[in-house]
Amino acid sequence: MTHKLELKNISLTYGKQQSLNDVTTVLESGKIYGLIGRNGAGKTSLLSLVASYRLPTLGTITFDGNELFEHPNHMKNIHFGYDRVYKDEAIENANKYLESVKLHRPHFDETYADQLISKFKIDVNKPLSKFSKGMVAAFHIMLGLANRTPVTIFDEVYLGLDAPTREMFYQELLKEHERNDRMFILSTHLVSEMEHLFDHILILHHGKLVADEDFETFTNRGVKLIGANEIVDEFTANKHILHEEKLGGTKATTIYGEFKEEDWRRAKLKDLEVSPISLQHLFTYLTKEEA
Amino acid sequence: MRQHLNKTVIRELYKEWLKWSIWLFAIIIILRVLHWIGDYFGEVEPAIDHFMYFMNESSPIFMLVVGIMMVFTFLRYYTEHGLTRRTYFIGGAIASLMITITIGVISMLLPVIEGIVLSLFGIHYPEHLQFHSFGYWISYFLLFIITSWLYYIIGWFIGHVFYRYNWWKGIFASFFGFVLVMLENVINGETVTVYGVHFEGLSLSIFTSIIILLLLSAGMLVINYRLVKDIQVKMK
Repeated sequence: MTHKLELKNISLTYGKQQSLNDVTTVLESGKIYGLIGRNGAGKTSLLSLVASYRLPTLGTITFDGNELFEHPNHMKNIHFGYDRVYKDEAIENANKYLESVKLHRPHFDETYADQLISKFKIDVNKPLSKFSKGMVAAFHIMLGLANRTPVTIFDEVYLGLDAPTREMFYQELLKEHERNDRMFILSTHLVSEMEHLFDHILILHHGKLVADEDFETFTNRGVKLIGANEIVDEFTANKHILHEEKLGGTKATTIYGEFKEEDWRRAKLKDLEVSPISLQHLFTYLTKEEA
Repeated sequence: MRQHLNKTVIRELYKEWLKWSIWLFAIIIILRVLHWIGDYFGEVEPAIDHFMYFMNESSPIFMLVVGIMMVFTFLRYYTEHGLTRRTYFIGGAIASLMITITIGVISMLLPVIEGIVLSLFGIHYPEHLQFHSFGYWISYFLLFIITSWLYYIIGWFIGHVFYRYNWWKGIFASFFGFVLVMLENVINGETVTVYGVHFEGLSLSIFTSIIILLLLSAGMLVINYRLVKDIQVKMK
C-alpha cells in the first residue's frame, strides 16, 4: 500500500530561536530519502515532528490525508530511531523490550528481527543500559528494519557503528527496500558514504529546505567546469556559482543550476573539462557559510 | 476516545506496577513482623493497628511515587512504540485504579493470613482489630482505593509539570500537591498542623468523603490530561 506523508509550512521556534522555517514537502512510499544538513540545521527537529514527539509552532503534518499528531492508527506507522540513550528504563532487558515491541507494533516481524540480531551480533540477553555504543546503534537498526513500519526514520543512528557494520546496514537496507514498499528517511552528514542509498534528497540549511529533488535531478545540477579563465567566465556568466578556484590562466568553477545537454556539447567544443560533482560537494557548497 | 483505549497498555502497566507493589508488601510485612515481635516481648498492651490502617499510611505514598515515575518511565516509552499521549493517559488512569483496587484487596486478605500465622504461634488476634462491621470495612475499602488513586493522580500531576515545564514550576506543582494531600487529610477527618497552624479535620461520613475525593480526583485528572495532550516528548 502506498502512503503519503505531507508537511505543510512547518515552522518550529524554541524561544526566540527559529529551528525550522516554512518547510513544505511531500514524501511517498517506496523511496529512500536522504535528509542532509549540517549540525544544527534542524534535521532532528523536523524528524521529531514527523514522529509526533512534539507539535510544530506552525504548519501541519498529514499521513494519507489525516493529521498525524495523536492519530491512533497512523502514529503506529512511524518508527523513529535516533541516537537514544537507554538509562533508567521501565524495561531494562533487551529481550523484554523486544517482547513489548511485539505487543505494540502491528507490523513487527519477529523472524526478521532474529535474523538481524544474529547478523549484527546483538546480545539481547543483556540489559539495554549495559550495551556499548555500537551495540545500541545495531539495536536501533534492527528495531527500525524489523518493525516494518511504512515510514521508518533513522536519525544518524548508524554513527555508533564501525565502518564494516555500517556497510552491512546499507546492504540490508537496500534488500529490505527491494522487498517492501516502505519509506525510509535517513538523516546524515556522512553524505559520500550514503549517497548511493538515496532516491531523493532533502537538504536543510538554517531550518529551511533548500533542496527537495530526486537524486539524479539534483546531482545533475552540480557541474564543475575547468578551462581558460575567459571561456569559463563566459559559460558561467548567468549561473549560480558555488565555488571558484584559479591557477594562473586556468579556472575551475562549480555551478549549480540547469546544465542542458547542449551546454555540455558547447563546453566540450570550447575545450572545457566538464564533470558532474558529487552530492557531498554539492551539499558542502550549498551550505557553506561565508567567512 | 475509544480508539485510544489500549488494553495491552493497561495490562502492561498493571503488571509492571504489580511487580513494584511486591516491594511495598515485602517492606510492610517485614515492618509488621517487627511490630508483632515488639508487641509480643513488650510489657504494655499491644499497640498495633489493623493491617488495613497500616496499609492506608503507605499505599497512598507508594501510589504518589508511582504517579511521578509514570511520566519519566512510560511517556517516551509509549511514544516510541507509536502510541498516542491519550493512550498513555487512559492506560495510566485505568491501570492505576486497578492497581489500587488490587492493593486494597490484598490488604483486606492479608489480615486473614496474619491471623492464621499468629494462631500458629499461639497468639490471638487482638479483638480491637476485628470488631468493625462488614459495612464499615466495605466503606473503608472504597475510601482506601479512592485515597490511593488520588495520590497517584497528584504524583502524576507533579511529574507532568516537572516534565513539561522547568524545575521551579515543578516545585510549585509539588507545593500544590502538598496542599491537596493536606486537603485529603482534612476531608478524611484528620487534623493537619503546618507551622503551628491547625486545620481541623472534617466530621464527614465515609460516603461524603468518598464523593468529595472522587470529584477532586476527576478535577485533577482533567488537569493531567490538559498537561499531557500535546506535551513534548523528550528525546534525551
